[in-house]
Amino acid sequence: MALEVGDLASARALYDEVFRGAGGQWEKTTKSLIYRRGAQRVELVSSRRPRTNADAGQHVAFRVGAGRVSALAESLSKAGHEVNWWREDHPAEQEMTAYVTDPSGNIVQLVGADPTDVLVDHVGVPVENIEDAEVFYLQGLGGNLDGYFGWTTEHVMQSRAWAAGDDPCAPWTRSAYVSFRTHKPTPSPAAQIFAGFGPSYVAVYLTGKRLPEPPEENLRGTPRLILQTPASADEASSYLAGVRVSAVRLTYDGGQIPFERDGADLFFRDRSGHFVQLACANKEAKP
Amino acid sequence: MAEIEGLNHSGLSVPNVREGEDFYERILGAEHCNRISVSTADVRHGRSVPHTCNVLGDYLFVLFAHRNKAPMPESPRGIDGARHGFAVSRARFTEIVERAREEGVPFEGPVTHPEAGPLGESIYFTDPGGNFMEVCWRRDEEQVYNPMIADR
Repeated sequence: MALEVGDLASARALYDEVFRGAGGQWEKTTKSLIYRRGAQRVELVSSRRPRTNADAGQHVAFRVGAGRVSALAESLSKAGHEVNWWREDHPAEQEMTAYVTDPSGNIVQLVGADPTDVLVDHVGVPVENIEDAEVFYLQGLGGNLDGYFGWTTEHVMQSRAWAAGDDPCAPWTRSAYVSFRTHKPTPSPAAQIFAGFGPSYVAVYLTGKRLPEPPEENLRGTPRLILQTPASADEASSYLAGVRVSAVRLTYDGGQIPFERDGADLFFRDRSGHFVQLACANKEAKP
Repeated sequence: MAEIEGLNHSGLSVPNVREGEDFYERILGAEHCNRISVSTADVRHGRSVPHTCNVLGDYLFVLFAHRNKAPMPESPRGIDGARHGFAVSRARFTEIVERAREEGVPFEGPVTHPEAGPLGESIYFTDPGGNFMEVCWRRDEEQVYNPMIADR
């Protein structure tokens, strides 16, 4: 995952705390700090005006160690960082946990699980069309459908409990906009799909917030989801050039995925403008 | 008086929209069209969970989630027998019956109708939302059933 931060030093201070015990290593570049742990990495990219999508609930969840969440949350709160306690809807997120806002406004979820195998537990990505996103992340990128939320009567009823103040759900998982039909606030669950990629997943949820759309021709930027593939850049390029994802069967909408290649990395965007980097295997092309 | 020109679509409520769509696609061969209430604009207009739009032949229907828990009817024939009736050719009727059996869908029938009537045989079942359904073949399948559509 690549996050934008306004000040690398203050970001490093917070993330040092969060990653304590994970066993990874920091690496410094001209404009970023990279924390590497096994096959995963977190890039903190310097930006004068960090783009976080926090108001739409974009967040990254790190495993910080079983039994460590409360103490870490308290420590970060005493250090002046905003901490909220919420729950979400993935089966593994039903219990409340701590959400910390870093100095640049990025939301960081603390997961009470062992970080020695997997540091990034999941990334929460708000989208403007859940059907397009499902086709993109599952059919286009090959994610596994680990589950979904917000498509059933049970979930509608849960959203009423949230509206009554009886359920501490993360704010991006529910909404209560005024219905065009009844002219009354309608508590509703956010439609969500959980796309599994290896040991982690991307929680994709339909947002009620308008997302800032980068210019169409911008195919790389931050915040950025970084996925890894065993395919070579040639193989991945060939695949992306051929795949057409279109959620609407009756009308062809030219749903190809435009991408840009830089060495062994491919850069593209999902339909809601989120940047994705595909880190490919460094295989030499055969003569 | 409004001169209605035809049936446009039906809305059917189910407890789980995705499972409902899977039922219609897998058992009855429905085709997925698209989903509605799936965009930020829909959320901001206070729409609730996504609905799915599916097509069975020339019949368009929308599946949406009940807003409250609705008990399944005690009888497979629903509360009062009100139902949607779908037709297949006589040649394919056995195929439908076999598919229902293979997929473990509880059904009543095949029931053979009187020879004097328009229907040949029917099976009856409920969808995951308790909506009562019938699939039949018609004895008069060579006849144009809906002259209003045929005239267009």
